[in-house]
Amino acid sequence: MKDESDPVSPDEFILRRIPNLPSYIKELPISVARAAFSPTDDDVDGVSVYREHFVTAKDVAEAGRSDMGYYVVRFKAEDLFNLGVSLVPNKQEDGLPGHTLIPELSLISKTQDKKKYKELALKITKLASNDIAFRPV
Amino acid sequence: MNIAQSVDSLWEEPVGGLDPLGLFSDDYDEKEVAWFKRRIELEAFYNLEYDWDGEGADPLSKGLIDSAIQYFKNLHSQKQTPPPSRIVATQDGEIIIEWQYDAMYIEVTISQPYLAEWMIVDPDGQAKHFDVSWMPPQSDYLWENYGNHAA
Repeated sequence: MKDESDPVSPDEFILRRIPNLPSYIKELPISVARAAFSPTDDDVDGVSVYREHFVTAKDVAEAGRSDMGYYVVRFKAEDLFNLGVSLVPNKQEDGLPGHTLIPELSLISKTQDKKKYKELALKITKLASNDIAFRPV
Repeated sequence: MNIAQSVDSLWEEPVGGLDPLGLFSDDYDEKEVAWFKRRIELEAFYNLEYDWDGEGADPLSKGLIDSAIQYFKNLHSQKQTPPPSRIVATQDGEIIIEWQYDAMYIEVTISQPYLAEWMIVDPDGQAKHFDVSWMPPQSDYLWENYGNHAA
């Protein structure tokens, strides 16, 4: 039985919540805006994603704070690893199970090397555009 | 109705019979329509208030939006520039102007007034970066720097 603290395996699927904001998802070759992977002030250690092994895309969308709703995109962990991304399990006592961080997209990473951050965020954005697992009603 | 819906509604519900700019006629330049739509989206950022994203984001600074509009106008005036594919405000206070054409990805990030950070990614995924800075309009500069000394 897999535990939330166990390392993420390449065959797992990863979910990311995207706010339903103007043009964040649009009918374009890369449908998701890179802005969907901008760290907020809270994302000091990394942006949040969730492991599908522990939670559904609908759960991830509904746990968001905004009344405007959320999209949820889905990645294969292996594809993220191939980009050099770390997936660090980060169990939260009062949050959804399967919480995980991408430290390469943290506020600190962005500040330290913005060009590198932008290039990586764009690669992740391209992957995200291939699999939108949940759309707001 | 959120901002995206209100912008979209401009195109779905043109005022009956009134179309002073000819935006809805068949022969209007599609590129100009796209430029116009992006301009409206950009100007809508002035209306963002605290918590515009539902997660506690601050509004964008007026100076940042002013700069983005200034740069946008400059790009528009260069006739060879195609209209941007998308313009978004980020939750950490930046504006990203984006183009997706012929497998190229190009973006300009305005993260501070009077500075445009370009990223151009070719179809092979190779990225180039460069920054463009410019001076504020002279009148703004004068009032920002000397306005407090006015009697």
